[in-house]
Amino acid sequence: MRKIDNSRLFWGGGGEGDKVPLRIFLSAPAKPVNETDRASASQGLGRSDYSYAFAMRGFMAALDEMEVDYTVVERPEAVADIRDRSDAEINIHLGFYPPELIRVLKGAYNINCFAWEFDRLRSRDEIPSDHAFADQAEMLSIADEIWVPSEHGAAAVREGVAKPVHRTPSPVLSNLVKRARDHAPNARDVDRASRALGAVNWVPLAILPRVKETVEQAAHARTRTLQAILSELESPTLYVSVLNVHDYRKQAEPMIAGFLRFAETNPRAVLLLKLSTPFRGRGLANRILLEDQIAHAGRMIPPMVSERIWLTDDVLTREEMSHLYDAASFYLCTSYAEGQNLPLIEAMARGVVPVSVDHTAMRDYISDNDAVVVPSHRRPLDLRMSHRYRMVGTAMNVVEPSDLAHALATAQALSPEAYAHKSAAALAEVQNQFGLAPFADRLNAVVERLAAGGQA
Amino acid sequence: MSAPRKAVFDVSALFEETWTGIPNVVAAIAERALTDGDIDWVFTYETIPLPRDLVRRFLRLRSGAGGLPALSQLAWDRQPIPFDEARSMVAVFPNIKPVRGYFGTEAIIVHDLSPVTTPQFHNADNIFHFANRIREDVATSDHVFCVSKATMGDVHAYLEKPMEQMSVLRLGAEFDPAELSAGLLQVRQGAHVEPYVVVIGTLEPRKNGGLVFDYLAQNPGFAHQYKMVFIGRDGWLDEKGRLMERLHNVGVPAERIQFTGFVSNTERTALLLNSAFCIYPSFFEGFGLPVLEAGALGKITVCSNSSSMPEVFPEQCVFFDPGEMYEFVQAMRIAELRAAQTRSRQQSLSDILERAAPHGWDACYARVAQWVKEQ
Repeated sequence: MRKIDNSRLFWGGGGEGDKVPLRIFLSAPAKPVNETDRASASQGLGRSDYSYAFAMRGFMAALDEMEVDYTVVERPEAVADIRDRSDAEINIHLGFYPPELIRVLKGAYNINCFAWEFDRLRSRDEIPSDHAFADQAEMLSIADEIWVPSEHGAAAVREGVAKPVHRTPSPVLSNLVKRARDHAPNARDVDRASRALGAVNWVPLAILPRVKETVEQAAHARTRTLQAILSELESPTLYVSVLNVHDYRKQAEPMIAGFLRFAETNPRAVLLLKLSTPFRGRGLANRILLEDQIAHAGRMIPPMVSERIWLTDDVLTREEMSHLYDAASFYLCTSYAEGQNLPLIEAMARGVVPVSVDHTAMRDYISDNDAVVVPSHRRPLDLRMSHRYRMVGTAMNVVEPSDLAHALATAQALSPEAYAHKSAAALAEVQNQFGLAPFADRLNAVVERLAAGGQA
Repeated sequence: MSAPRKAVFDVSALFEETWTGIPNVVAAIAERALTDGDIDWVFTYETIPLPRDLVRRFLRLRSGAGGLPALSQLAWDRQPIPFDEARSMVAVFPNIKPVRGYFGTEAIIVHDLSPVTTPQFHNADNIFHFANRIREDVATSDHVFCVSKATMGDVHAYLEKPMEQMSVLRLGAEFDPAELSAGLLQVRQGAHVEPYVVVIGTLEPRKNGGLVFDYLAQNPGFAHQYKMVFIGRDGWLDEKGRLMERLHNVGVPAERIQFTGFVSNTERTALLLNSAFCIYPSFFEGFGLPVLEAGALGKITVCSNSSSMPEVFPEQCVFFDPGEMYEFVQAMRIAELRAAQTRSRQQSLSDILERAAPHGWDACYARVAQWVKEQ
């Protein structure tokens, strides 16, 4: 992160002196996560709204690439009017906030970037409290312009807000592989990557609610490194997924149930689930997976205990994440709905072939050309999702375990040529849709409009 | 000659036993309203009219002690202002409104939106009381008085109140000449007053007093040069002990740091007047009255550049970003030099009264009265 230039932000920096044409300010509810070492990376991962700081980091990288100077403002609400402090003709604030937490930089042109995954915003009847900031549409209209990372989200927001709404995804510019894969990772590739992940511990899946403490302890006793896990398998094929384990939208149960069904006839398949949680390191990965992704008051939970699915709640550095993707042949996504889904995009940027649903945000970049598409079925939000998101009647996208098992079988059967084609197409999709150009074009259009004296 | 305009001023805040913040603002306006013959002010607890003598008693005692027990009887005796009568009246509410659209014309004073914009600095009760009500209170007010331009900017930005329905109601600072004389006397008699720096504000996270401790931990020599005097009520609980322990570990004796707790106006004025300079490191304010008080007394303030604070008394301030220790260190150096140059401790009573006069409460009341008369 660039150091704040105090002489510019200091009181008295504004005024009538020589002006620079443009200053960009960015802010988010949390500081950008530094993923170069574990201690720094653990500072924000798994906390609510950390994904907004991740999104901001993508825009910062793009501004660096464009050689546009910018300032990260930690408390935009503390600035009475940025024009009193900034020496720029045009001040633009890119805020990264969910609607209820929006903070504007007064005196700047405020663009709020946020992800939305459902077909509409909350209606007035669904506003969950009397809080002054509770109405999503009202809060979003505070900004001058809204950027949403997906076409699906942009369409949903446009219906509820009068301000301009544009699809402008968070750029993904770093950690892309230099060239697409010409084959799925072989034993040597997997071994090299798993050595680099030697500091990461994995526990096997252990869901058995009636004896959960005992079975979790037994799982804990089986903690292994990836290298140790793979040493018992011949030519394993790795599947990976990355999720905030507290996030109901991830719909992990059909992923797990479908994979277990698939694994019955595919003895070389191993699924690695990288879980984010603020309760990391307490041996609770299986417990949280049960309680936040699988448990359901309306039915019993079948036993799911397997050494074919391994979990980690360790914090991984960016380098380790790249090694994890490099070891994986396929990335799994069965979410009910997504606003952008950065982990999936990051996996595609490493050449991993997605086995993924293609609804909501994924509609922009997942297709039969670059992925094995998992069918999904639109249904009204269930009780748990309704309660969590305070919405009634809007749709979520349900995946059946059998659909995932079928898609996994299709993926496993891909010819080397078909795999290479999808890998290359996935990388190209990331470069086209999440490269510099879409963001740069959008930003330049705003600057030109403001320079010409225009507003929204 | 037409009858004076009838207007309501809600003085519920005066029922608090200890006055800080909003009760002081209400008191300053009420004092002037009591002597204004051009407006027929009705003082109320919400919508219950109060005897003027009760308001005068509160103002004389600078406390609402004993008021609440009397209120119950007043509610029976005087009854809330009837709706039909209220429709022809103008009402000014100095904070969250007890009724909306009850009076013919309503104005609200908004001090800040910090319970919604910086909720991390507020307790749940405060957030509930304010955050759930302020949007509708503002929407149903014909006029919104904001205590600073910064607050007005927030109300416009977050609650989308049109600027033409708002105005700035700048708060005031006044000093009793007797209190000033007492404060000055301590210097004139040649009494030895050890050099000290004042940190103003309740000891709570929003006021950012921890920054001063961080500074002293890095610059323990400063505490040997100046005593540090924290003026204000203590809201830090165990945090204070931890910070003191930290200072002890870097060689700053506990007696170099003084905590006054709540002090009377007289004591507060004397402490400000005899200080070398002041520090106001707050993260967020609606106005920043202590900055105005210090400035009116001729004191330099090392002042946070956040929210409204830069608009209060900029000519007497050295600003810094409250999250940046480097800027604070620079500001402290500049303030020390400026304070030495201005020799503010040698000023006369008339100097102070002359300087403070334009910053009193009269202009604040005049703005309210003008709006009432325009309705």
